[in-house]
This record gives sequence, C-alpha cells and structure tokens, in this order.
Amino acid sequence: MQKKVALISPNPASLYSTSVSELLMRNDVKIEVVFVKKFTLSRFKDEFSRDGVRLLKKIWKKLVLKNKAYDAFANIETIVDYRKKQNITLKNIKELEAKGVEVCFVDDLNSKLVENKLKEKQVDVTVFTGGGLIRKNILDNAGAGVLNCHMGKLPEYRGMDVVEWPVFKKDLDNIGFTVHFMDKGVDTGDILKVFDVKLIENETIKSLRARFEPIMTQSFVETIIGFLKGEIERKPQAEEDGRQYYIIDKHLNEIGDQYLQQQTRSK
Amino acid sequence: MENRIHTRSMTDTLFSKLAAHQANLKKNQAQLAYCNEAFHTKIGYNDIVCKNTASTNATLPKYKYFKTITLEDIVNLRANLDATNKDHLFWCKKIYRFLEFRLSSIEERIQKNYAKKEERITFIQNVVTLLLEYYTVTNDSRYLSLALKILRKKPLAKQGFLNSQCNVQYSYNIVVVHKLIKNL
Repeated sequence: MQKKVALISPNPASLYSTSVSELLMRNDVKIEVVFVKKFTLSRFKDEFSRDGVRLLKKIWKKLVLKNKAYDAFANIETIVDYRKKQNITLKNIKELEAKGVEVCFVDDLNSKLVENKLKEKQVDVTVFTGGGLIRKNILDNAGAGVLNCHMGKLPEYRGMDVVEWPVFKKDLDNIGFTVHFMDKGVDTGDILKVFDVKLIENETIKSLRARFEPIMTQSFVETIIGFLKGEIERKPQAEEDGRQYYIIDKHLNEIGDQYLQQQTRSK
Repeated sequence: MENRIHTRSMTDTLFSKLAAHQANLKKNQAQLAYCNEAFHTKIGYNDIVCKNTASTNATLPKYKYFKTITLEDIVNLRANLDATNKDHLFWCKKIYRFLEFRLSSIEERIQKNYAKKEERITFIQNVVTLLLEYYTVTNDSRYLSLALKILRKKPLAKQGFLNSQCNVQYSYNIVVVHKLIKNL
C-alpha cells in the first residue's frame, strides 16, 4: 500500500523542502498535505529576538539571493548542483497543488488547524524540513511522529550551530548529521540513522555547511523510505548522552574556522 | 596539541581597548567583588594581587529563580566553586540555560535582581566571571562562548555617556577572556 506523509516547510521556495518533496514523490510516497509557515512580521520579530543579525543574513541568502548564494562554491557539490544532477524541477511548494497535494499556509505550525488537518489525513509519518518548534499536539497526531534531519551527530551534538561546535572543539570525527524523531526536548527524540560527513581539502565552515545540504537531502529521503518500509528501527537516546549547544560566539567560530582550514589545507 | 592560529581573531573589537582595560583593572582592582587566586594560577595570570574579604565558606542557598540571585550568591559560588559538588553544578547549569534563553533581553531581566544600573552591571559581570571560572574548571566551552556573547553587550559594561570608565569587573573579564583565548 502506498505510504502517506505530511510535510512541514519553513518557506514555499526552500530548496531543501522542494527537493525532499520531489524525491519522496518519485519514490512512490504520497504527500497528503504540506504546511508552510507564513512569513509574517510577528514571525520575523520572534526569530530576530532569537537569532539577531544572522536572521537577516539567512533571509538575504534564502529569499533574495536564492540559487546565486551558491555561486561562491565552485569546487563543491551544493544543493543547486545536486538538483540539476537529479533533475529536480520543483521550485515552489505551491506547484504541488497541481499534483493534488493540499498546501496550507499557516501562521502557527502548532495551531488547531494543523492539528485537525493531521487528524483528518492519518499520515504514516510527518516530515519536518524547518519552521521552528513543534509542540505536543502536533507530535501526537503526526502518524509515527515528526522526522527531522538534524545537522549534528546525535546524541552528542544537540541544538544550534552543531557544525561549528565540533570544529571548534577539534572533534573533527564527530561531524555529521542525524535523522531522528522530534519530541518535546531539543533533539532528544529517537534516532533512526546517524551519518558521518568526511572533510575534504581546503574546507571552511561555509563550504562544509554548503556540502551538508545535498548529502542531507539525499540521506533524509533514503532514511524516510527505509523507515516507511520497516527497514530501519528507532533507537531511543538518553538525555544525559549529549549536550545542548546554542549559537557559538563569533570569535570562537573564527578560531574554529581557522583550525578547520589549517587541518584541511592542500599540500 | 597543535596551537591555534589567532591572526583574524585578534582583530575582534572586544579587545580593541585591551590596554585601557588593563590600566583600569590595575588602578581599581580593589573594587573587584572577589579575586580567585586558584583561577589565576590555572590560567597563568599574575598581573593583579588578590586581597579578598569575601567569605569562602558560606552556604549556598537552594536555587530558585535567576531573578532571586544576588551578587553575594555569585561571589559565594565563585569562591567555593567545586566541579564535583552537585549543587554547584546545578546552579551553574541553571544560570547558563537562563542566560542563553534570555540573551536578547538580559538587560531588562536583571532589573529584577538589582534596580540600580551600576549594581546590575557589577552583578552581571560577576556572573560572566563565574562562567569563565566554570569553563576553566570543567573545560566546557559553551560557558566561554556565553561569557563572550554577554561581554559584547555594551550597555552591560558602563553606565552611560558621561561616565566613560568601564566597570572594573568588566575590564577584568576582558583581560581574563583575552588570556583564556590565547591559551586555547
């Protein structure tokens, strides 16, 4: 029987969300509904109080520059290159409506509207591609749960800037990402699969982050499909197994970046 | 272990007035709430002489809320900090989490601890010193990162335009954090 999922997206033009959506559909997964978080003034205020100036940079990159943001990475495969290689053509989540997918633009991903829609759709699992915290009322009605691909290796690196933190700590063997279920904690839900990302020559934090995107997209989709087929089991993590990290100070980030460049400099 | 490279990081504006902070600290070191000799020994800092009056064996009360913490509690914790003491670890963890969550509104939040601005600055700068001392004891660099992020908040350094002299505890923190980063 065809498996059904719901998808949560931070914005309709997200390269990551559109890529995951198209790849899932190609693999015979039915997307029942997509919830897209609206970009409103209150969302901006909330995220600005948390992220500060980095939010402006993120908006500039994701909403203004879009594909051009990746022009600086000539020698690595970015999500833009990956989309070309995989012939991913979906540019905006709205286009999915023409394929019979319900697309809901919502102010709040944890609203009653989202909760009721999930109850109605009875999906097998919900796929999270960004948009903020997910509360219990959504987690409890999301099929097997809400799956997320976290940019750090769990359980060790929870929270924010989990690419930067292992680099600063000279923990270069612990760079990778994790597909896991979301729960009420921060990145403390059951783990499906942990992936390593190997460093390449002349690596920087920026290049590393850009390289993560296509690898995460591919691996996330493969893991979701593996889970839906019953091939991958969830492994619980204990809270004390890891630490929660927050935004790294810019000075420490620079020190880490210099260390990374030093360690990967081509001879 | 390979040494860190510090070429770009040394341009951080946080350290642009390092000499002025060193002078301020030298001149006003008697105003420091507490001077932790063991901490100085550990990081190889011996530019000031510690003359303490703070009690080093006061009992730490049970942690309630950040807003109920006083400078006395922080000094007490700094003077007795023990990484094997569960209460001390609990206090530091709670303070850390509160400050990370409320980083964008620290200035308003600490008004609940102290009404006068000067007292607020001395209080929060002693909290920063505690974070730096905790980092040195546990090697948990999240605490160093948080200390740096708070130090970047200029209103928590001095009392306005007319009083241009920085709080001595702030100067102390800048000097010490510079030393800690050089030691990385």
